[in-house]
Amino acid sequence: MKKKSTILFCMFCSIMSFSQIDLESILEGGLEDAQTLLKGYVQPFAKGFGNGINGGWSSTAKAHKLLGFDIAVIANAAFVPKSGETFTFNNADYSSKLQLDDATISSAELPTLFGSKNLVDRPLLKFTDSDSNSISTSALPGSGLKEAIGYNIVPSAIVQLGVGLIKNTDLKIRFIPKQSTPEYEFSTFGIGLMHDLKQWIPFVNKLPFDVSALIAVNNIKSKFFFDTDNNPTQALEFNTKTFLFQVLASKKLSIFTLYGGLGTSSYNTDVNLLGTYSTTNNNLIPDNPISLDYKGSSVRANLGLSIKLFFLKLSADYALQEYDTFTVTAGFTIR
Amino acid sequence: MYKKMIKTMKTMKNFKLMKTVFLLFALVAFSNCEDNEPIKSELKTNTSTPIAIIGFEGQDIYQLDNTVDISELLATASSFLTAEIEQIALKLEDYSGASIDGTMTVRLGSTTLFESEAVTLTSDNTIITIPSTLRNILTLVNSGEFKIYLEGTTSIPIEDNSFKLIVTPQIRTTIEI
Repeated sequence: MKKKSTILFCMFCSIMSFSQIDLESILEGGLEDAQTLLKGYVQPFAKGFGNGINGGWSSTAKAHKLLGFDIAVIANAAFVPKSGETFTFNNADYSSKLQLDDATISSAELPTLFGSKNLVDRPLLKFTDSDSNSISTSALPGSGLKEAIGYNIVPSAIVQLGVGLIKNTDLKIRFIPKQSTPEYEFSTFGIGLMHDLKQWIPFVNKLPFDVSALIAVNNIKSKFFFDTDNNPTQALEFNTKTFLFQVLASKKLSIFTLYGGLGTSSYNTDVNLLGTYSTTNNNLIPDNPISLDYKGSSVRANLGLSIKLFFLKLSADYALQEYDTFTVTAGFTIR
Repeated sequence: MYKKMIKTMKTMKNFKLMKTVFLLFALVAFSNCEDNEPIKSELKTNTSTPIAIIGFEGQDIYQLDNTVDISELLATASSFLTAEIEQIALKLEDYSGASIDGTMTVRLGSTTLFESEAVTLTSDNTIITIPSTLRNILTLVNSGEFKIYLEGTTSIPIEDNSFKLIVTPQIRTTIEI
């Protein structure tokens, strides 16, 4: 289990890596400005992850028989829309220490993490100190992911266990106990219930398809430590809570099952810079200096197809929501 | 010259820990698209340097120079692709008179940026735009240090024995990081 969860964690955090980008100058504008700037810059990642991790809860509306179960690996790719490639920098949202270099404009579109890394797409931002000296640097670059693979996606992956209970009810569990290494901590817990609705509706219960309601919550906690030997408190914390409610329908056709759902998806993600920081100039930096909070919800409608070969089950579906998400699952199912 | 600019750069360097953190925030390179291609960025500085002018009272000609070590600036980037000086702003500080009228010649290293330009120095910035053909200072920047020379004549003798000339060059560089 530990090995599996470690692999999953590695998949999860493989999306993160250091780049060669020099972002020091952000802080020249002060922490509040840095926070405002970073919030816009990171936003599509938080949205994408929140939308993506809600995928894969179910690939059928038919509940297991009593004590039947399934275990599946779920991989999601949330597509960042065009609007997520830039964010608006308004001079009015920042202090006089951080403004657009071009004094003739009051706002500009800057790349997000998923935006362009080309110089022409990154306006100069001007940082001014108390002596009125200034230094202007190009806005933060995007990852260039779209140029590399053709899509801007936020990947996520999880393992899920489903168990059949009484009254055509499935209990779904996403659980990875706290994993701790010198570099990171990670844990996740999610729980969902899928209940067959059709059985309670006269006449409808005779129709040749399944209808269920699904409600699920998920909580992912992670911390990435920078220097555990010398600065054990310094870490980047990334937490996401999600909620999903859907009415599902599915129709089994031989080894295939066509399934879909309609409902609502929401998330609450926070990204925090933890610890105590100081500079050689003794500049005052408060503890836990950066805290970014993202919330969102949207209608979610998905349609997918699964195939069952003996105990093996594969599925793929596409969900329309705030950030559309493509989900594939692979696993085993019994009863 | 550029001591304050260097100081600014030092301050920026002091944020290295935070830089690491921001790099993490950036989450920039997905493992399947990391190409290690350098990313270009522009850097534009407007950093003023005060040059003390002492003992020039009654004179109508002056020569000043200042050596600048920009090694710290170089440390902020692996290489400079371009480096241009776009303009120089000049103003007087603590000058007892109203202004200094005259001409000025400014050289950066061996490059004359402008020669015998008519200028009126006051307590407000006088901005002199550098002709585009003379802006390239890449060699100078990559050399690690450069000297700025200021020569001038005044229409009436200088009226103060101790004041400052605030020089603010606007330098735009393109760097790869």
